[in-house]
Amino acid sequence: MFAMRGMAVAFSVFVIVYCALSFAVCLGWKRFSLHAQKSPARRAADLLFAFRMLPLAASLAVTALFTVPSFLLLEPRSIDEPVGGITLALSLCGALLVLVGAVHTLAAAWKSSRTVAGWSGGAERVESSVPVPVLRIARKLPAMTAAGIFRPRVLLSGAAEFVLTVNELHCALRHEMAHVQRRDNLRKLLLRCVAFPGMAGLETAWLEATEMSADDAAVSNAGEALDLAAALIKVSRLGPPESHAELTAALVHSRASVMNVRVKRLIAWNESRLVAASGCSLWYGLGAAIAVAAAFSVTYSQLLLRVHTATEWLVR
Amino acid sequence: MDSIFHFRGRARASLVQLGPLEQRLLEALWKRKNATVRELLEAGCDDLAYTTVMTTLDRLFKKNLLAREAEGRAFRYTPRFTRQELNREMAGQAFRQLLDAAPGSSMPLSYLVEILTERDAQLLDDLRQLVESKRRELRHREAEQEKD
Repeated sequence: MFAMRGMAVAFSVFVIVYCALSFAVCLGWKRFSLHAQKSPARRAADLLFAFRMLPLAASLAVTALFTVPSFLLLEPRSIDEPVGGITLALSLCGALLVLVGAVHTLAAAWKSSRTVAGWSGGAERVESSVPVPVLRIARKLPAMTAAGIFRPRVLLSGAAEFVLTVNELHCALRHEMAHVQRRDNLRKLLLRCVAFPGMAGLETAWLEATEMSADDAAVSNAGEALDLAAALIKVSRLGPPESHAELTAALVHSRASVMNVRVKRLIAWNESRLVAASGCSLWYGLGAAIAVAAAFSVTYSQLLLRVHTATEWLVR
Repeated sequence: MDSIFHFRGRARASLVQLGPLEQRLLEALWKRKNATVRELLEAGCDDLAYTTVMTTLDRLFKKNLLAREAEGRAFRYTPRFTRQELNREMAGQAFRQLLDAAPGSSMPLSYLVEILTERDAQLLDDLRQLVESKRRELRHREAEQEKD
């Protein structure tokens, strides 16, 4: 009974924090996106992804760091306290949320794996300078895409190889390598865990930012930026983007009207973008994490007491 | 919600026939938020006759696109909808008309895809020209730098 009560409390707190924060993210993402877009594309992509993952990260942190320890340490095991109807309903919702997230993630991974296996049938390895395997596929589309989450590879169609010049091909490959290095496919998989209605706009904004970030990472001068822009245009002409490959990072993933922004951005490339790309957001993040950890270490016992009082109120 | 309902219910049939003068006066009103006929004439519509502006605004009011309130002997007109709301409704109306035009729904949708593809192709041509001109500019600049 103690364990059951603990699980009910943990799932209830999880679902309350998750839904409240998801709702806040739904309401505030447009304003946040406007602010993020003022940053370089790479940081904008990181910020948007962090904002999208915030409900899950915060609810997991609150549950694992506060709710469960406060329950285990402060709840008397001898008292057989019944669980209230609301808590029971909330905990069932929490469990369902976790289950749906897991099923959604596994289904997306399975579907993507089958799609990529279908594309890769009869593929042959191509010599290239990038550190992941580049496979030439028999199909015309997808023209070029980074596939795979734990064993990444780049799929390149013969048609794309034919229409692109050597420089354009190198830039396009570097673009795909940027997706691989930043583990964008894994991030897409993580987004499948955190389903919540009304998040499509934020996810699209993040997707656009990842493409721009990969564009920035792939070019280091105006000539290369024009090569990549030309590659995008040529690949767009090969056909519409594949819509059913959700866990892959295609060179062109949207219609020309959306891609327009990326091409114009590449045409307007300048040195300042190169400087901006090498920021030190990791150090800021590390500093913030240390500061938060230090603050928590000082106030942890007090926080546990308060969380326990709150969960007591919830159970009753 | 009530206003949108009226807008959709009463003004739908006439939206596509919004004439150039009506569009011009709507634009002027969007810029100024609200205005009387006299204020519109003073704000750049002075090539039009007072009665023309008055009749056109009255027509827009009857189409339920403007609200008006009496101000002395004249009326002060205010747009009932933002530019985005009106554009969205007009696009929606165009799509609805297209879908209603043929008994089978797949045909108009294929027209839409065709139009989008044509527009995409045109856009790609424009972008390619932009890239080429930028390339020429870059080569020219590099050549000049080499000369220096």
